[in-house]
Order: sequence, then structure tokens, then C-alpha cells
Amino acid sequence: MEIQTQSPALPAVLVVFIQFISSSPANAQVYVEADQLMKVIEAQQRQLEAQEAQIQRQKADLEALRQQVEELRRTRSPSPSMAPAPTAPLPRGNSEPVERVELDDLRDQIEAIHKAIPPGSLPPPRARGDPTLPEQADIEELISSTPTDWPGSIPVLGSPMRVKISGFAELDANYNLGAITSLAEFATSAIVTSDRTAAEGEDGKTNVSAQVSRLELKARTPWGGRQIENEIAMDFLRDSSVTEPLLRLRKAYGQVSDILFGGDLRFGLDWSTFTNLTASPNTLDYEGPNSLLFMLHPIARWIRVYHPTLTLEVGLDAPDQRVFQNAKEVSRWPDFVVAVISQTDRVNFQGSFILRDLRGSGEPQSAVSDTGWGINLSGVIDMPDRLAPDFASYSFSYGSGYGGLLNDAPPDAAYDFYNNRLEAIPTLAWYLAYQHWWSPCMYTVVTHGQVQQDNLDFQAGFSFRETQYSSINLTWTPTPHWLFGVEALYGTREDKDGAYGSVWRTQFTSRISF
Amino acid sequence: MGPMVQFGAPNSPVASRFSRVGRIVNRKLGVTLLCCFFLSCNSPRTIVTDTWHSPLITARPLGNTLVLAYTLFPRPIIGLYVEDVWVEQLGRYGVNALSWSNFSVDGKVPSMGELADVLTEYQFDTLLVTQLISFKHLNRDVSNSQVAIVETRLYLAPTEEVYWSLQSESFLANYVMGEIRRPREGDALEYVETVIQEMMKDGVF
Repeated sequence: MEIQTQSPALPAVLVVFIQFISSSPANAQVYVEADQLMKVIEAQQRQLEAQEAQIQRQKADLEALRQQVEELRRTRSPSPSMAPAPTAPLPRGNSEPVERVELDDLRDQIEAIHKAIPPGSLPPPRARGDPTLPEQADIEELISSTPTDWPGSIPVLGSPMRVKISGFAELDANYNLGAITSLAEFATSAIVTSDRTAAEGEDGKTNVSAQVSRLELKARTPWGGRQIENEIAMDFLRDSSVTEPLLRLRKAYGQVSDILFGGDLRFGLDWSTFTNLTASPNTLDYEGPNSLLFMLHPIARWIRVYHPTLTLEVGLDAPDQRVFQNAKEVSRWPDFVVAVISQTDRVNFQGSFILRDLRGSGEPQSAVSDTGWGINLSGVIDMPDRLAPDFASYSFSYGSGYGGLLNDAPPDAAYDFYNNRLEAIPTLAWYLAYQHWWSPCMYTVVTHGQVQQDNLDFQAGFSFRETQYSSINLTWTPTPHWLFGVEALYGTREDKDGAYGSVWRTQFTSRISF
Repeated sequence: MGPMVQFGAPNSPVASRFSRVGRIVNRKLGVTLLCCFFLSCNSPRTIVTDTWHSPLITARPLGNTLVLAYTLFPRPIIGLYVEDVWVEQLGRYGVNALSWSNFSVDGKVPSMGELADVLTEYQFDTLLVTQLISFKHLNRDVSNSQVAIVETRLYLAPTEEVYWSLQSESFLANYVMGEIRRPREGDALEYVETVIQEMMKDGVF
């Protein structure tokens, strides 16, 4: 409520009242008191006027302050486009002021959580904002950088080429119970059938090797709508009869896509076109079944994908690594190979045919030759329904003069001294493997294979006749890059004269890939 | 003097024939036992290898969820397929989820800008991303792999901040020659169900 200090009515009433009182001659004391009262009233009047002036000044100051505030607001008001982004929501209600004590508590909790994380443990996948890690790119960067049809490859600066370096370090430790001359691989043809010695492992022998460790370098370069692909790979398995690592060139090829009749061309050192790698079972033993077609050659191959489910390959394989009995290789023509590959949702199948010119030098020194041929049917069948994702691998080969392409490498042909001729040896080879998954990180592979040759009359008694290969393993892959397991292997060899040998092998393998 | 043949000697024809019969019988018995053993074992199709939960964000429901699944290739068919399985399974639990394929026109992996626009415009609460990280390399000579390493992440829609993630290993159908094949229907369902159960355990479902 505002007091009307400037009203003239109040002093006038007070003066009239005092004059009325003082007109009475009977009360002189009243005049004195009235005079004093007037002085008090005048003093109060001045005080009121002073207060009024002060209030006016304060009002003026307030108005000035208001104007200053308005000016400040106008000058600091941002444009809509420069509005700051809303801050990230706090883990608790962010509209309430957070007390310093509470902040300290939160910091303590975070510190306790950090201490609870074991040292060396992996950071949370793709987590952002962890101060102990380099700042993770945001999701946009992450997504844009991830899509590639060649994971793990890196671009070469200033070039459209991408390269990928990969490989693995593998340690194999095995214990043989029986005589065998192949230490790093379980080659059943190397089982000793007669005159077995302790040096060959007849009384048990342990071998430890890292020979199968591998280094691979691959490159892909786009070239006018086509692609050039190169691969160089090396391991240390030049000699599987010893455990010393000896460097070996495994692969060295280049391939150009869509270059001839709509197909790709590959030149260099690679698997034989006769081989179906997809059908190779996951044995821990480096060699795998004795009947597996597993030969690295210099090759020239034309590959045409007619349909996602149908591919045709035609190749010329170098006429090397022939296995002749009593004759030396004198090659003339390369091997001609044609392969048809079918891949459907559940079945992989390859049918391949090889034609070989087997030519050697016998005694007396003259070149003799025979024609070799072979047919191979192999593939993978994914198990249906309850047995999925198990799968079976198989291979069936038959022919004459192709045995040297098998893992066991029995002779392709034998030289007949009496008739001075080279004769191809009929060979039957097959294997069946089954992979059972216990979980996505553990599996077992059971394999059995057999190689049998129809010996020629003039072959010596110690000649290869039949081998069998059996294995069962338990493999664990705790991480995508680490595999280890144990495997039991059993192999036999029987010669033409009936000599027989068998070997048990147990193997431990650790393979860490990169 | 000819070689003396002893019964039971390893190289004698009698011993060889006898041991061969024994091997055949043992082999058939062994194969039968193995088949029965494998048939009786039912292996899990997805295993969880790692989970992470932001210590700053406590339990919260998914709310409206946008689902994005992608693999090493830009948006192949497998991504769309997995998104559909996610949406269907989340719907069964009463979660309102939509797949990114409903908003995508070109089928490519979206940028965060594109995602953010959709998240804001349609008022999604959560972004669920399923990403194929890598494959397990099992065979020395074949790139073929049946096991995929998959990462599933949850983002807060307004800030795109990760608050929960999980790594798992799941089965894929076999593939060859670089072609990635999708998981079988049962395997995809089991993967989604396994992840949902883990979300429930961590209070983010």
C-alpha cells in the first residue's frame, strides 16, 4: 500500500486543530506542547520528503538496470541456425541441479568400475567415450569404413590396389607308435612295412615342428572394369621327412578377371585344377586323407562362372612331380584338366577329368610313354534338419596313371624292363569325412580314406598296394584367430607282397592366425 | 629255405586276413556308435562370447526400436533377412520395432545422418544394430567358414550413444568362393532369441 505523503490536507487539519486549542486562554501549557508537536510534525514531514526522493531515485536506477538487461539480451540472443546442440542426457534427471557431493559419488563409482575391470581385458566393443581408449569414431565413420567385399585388406596409398597380409603360426606335436618316415604329415604311404627300426619310430617317437606355418600376401587391383589378383604364399615344408623348417614357395600366381570368353585367366603356381579344395576335411594333420587330390603345380587356368551355381574350369597343369617306378620323368605335354563345379544351398559338387602324357626314360636310355587319365567326383553335403550344421565331405577318384596327384603319391606308372615300356597303374582312391559341431567354437571331424592300386605283374614286391587313413579329432576355437585341438590318427600300408605296417599317431595342434 | 610263416605274425596272410575281418567289424561298429552319438547331441547354434553394459545407463526398456543389420558387403540379402527376423521376434515380445529396410531406398548401408533423421522423425527410442564382424577361419586352405562373429549393439536414439553390446558366434550355412550365405532360419531365430535373453538379463529389454 502506497502512502500519499504529498497530500496537503493533513498539515492543514493539524494547524486548524492547534489554533483552536491555543485560542483558549486557560491552557498556556498547551501552547508550548503544541509548538513542540509542530516541530516534530515538521521534522517528520522532511523525513517523508527525503524518503520519497530516495524512492524516486531507486525507481530510476531500477529502470536503468532493466534497460541494460534488455540491451544485453538483445545483443546475446543467438540465431536459430547457431543454436547449440542439445547435450547428451545425463544418466539421471538432468533438469535438477546436481550437487557436488553427488558428482563426487558418481566419480567414485566410475573409478570403482574401472578398477573392477581386469587388466588387459578387451574394451567394450564399439563403445564410445571411454577416456582410457583413443576416441572411437562415431557410428557414421564406423559404418562407412566397414563395408568391403574383402575384409582385412588395406588400401595402398596412391593406388587403387588393396593388399592383404595373412597367415598363421602353427605348432604340431605328435607321437608315433609305429615306424613312419613322414614326420610333419601323416602320409600313410610312408609307413614302413618291413625291417622297421627304432630310428623310424617303431618303439615310439615324438616330433615337434612348426613347418606348416605360413605367410600369405594377396593383392587386388581394379583394371578397367576387370580385376587383377595376385597371391604369394610361403611355408616351411620343403621336406616333410624332417622337422627342420625349410622355406618353400607354395603359391605364386596372378589372375585377370573377365579377360577371355567371359572367363578369368590364372597363371602361376597354384592347386591343380583337378583338386576340389572345398571338399578337404578339417583334419589337424596337415596332409589330410591319403586319397585327397592335393597337388601344387605351375598352372594355366581358364575359369568361367556361368551361373552362381555352375562354374567351368579348363586348365593346363605342368607335367612335373611325376612318380615313376624305375624310370625318370621326361615330360613333353602338360596335363589337360577340365572341371565342372556346382554349388547349391546345401551341396557342393565337382566333377573333374585329367588327361596326362606320362613320359619317362627307362633302361636302355630311351623315352617311353603312356597315357594317363583320371576322374574325380567330390564335394560337400550339408546335413539337413536336426543334424545341421554338420556336413560330410567326400571324394571318389578312379583312373590310370594319376596316382602321383594324391596325397599318398603312389606311382603314376612303372617301367617294364623286359618290354621297354612305361605302363600307367590303375588307382582307386576315396575318402569320407564328417564334421560334427558341438558348438560354434568346438567341432569333431571323423575321416576315413583308402587308396588302392592294381599292381602290375612286373612291379617289385615292395610296391605300393593299399593304404588306409583314419582320424578323429576334437578342435576348439576359443577366438576367431586361435585354433587348437587333439587328433588320433591310424594308418596302414600294405605292399604288393603283403608286407604290412600300421602306425598310431596322436597329435596336438595350436594354430594362431592373423 | 623259404620264409617261415607264423600264425599271428603281422606279415602272414592268415594274420592279415584275420586282422582285416576284425578291422571291418570294428569299423562298422565304430561308425554306428559315432552316428548314434552325433544324432543324440544337440549343439547350441549361438554362443555369447562377450557382453558390455554402460555403467552410466541403468536398466531401460527398448521402446520404439529401429533395427539395422548389415554384413561385410554393403547390405546384402543376409542383412535384410536378419532384420526381418529381429522385427518379428521383437514384435512377439510386444516391442514396437521396424527394420531399416522400410526406410531405405537404395539398399546401402546408411550414414549416421540418414539414421538420425529417421530416428528423430519417427521418434524411435532405440537403435539396434547387428553387424557381421568376421568369420572363423578353420581350414588352412579354404576361406569357407560356417561360423560368423556377430556384434549386436544398442544405441540411445537421441544421442546415438552405445549403451549395450554383445558379441556372439553363430552358424552360417556353408559358402564357397567368397559368397556369403545367410544363416538358416532356425539358426537366425536362435541367434535373436539368445540375444533377447541376454538383454533381459542385463535389464535393457
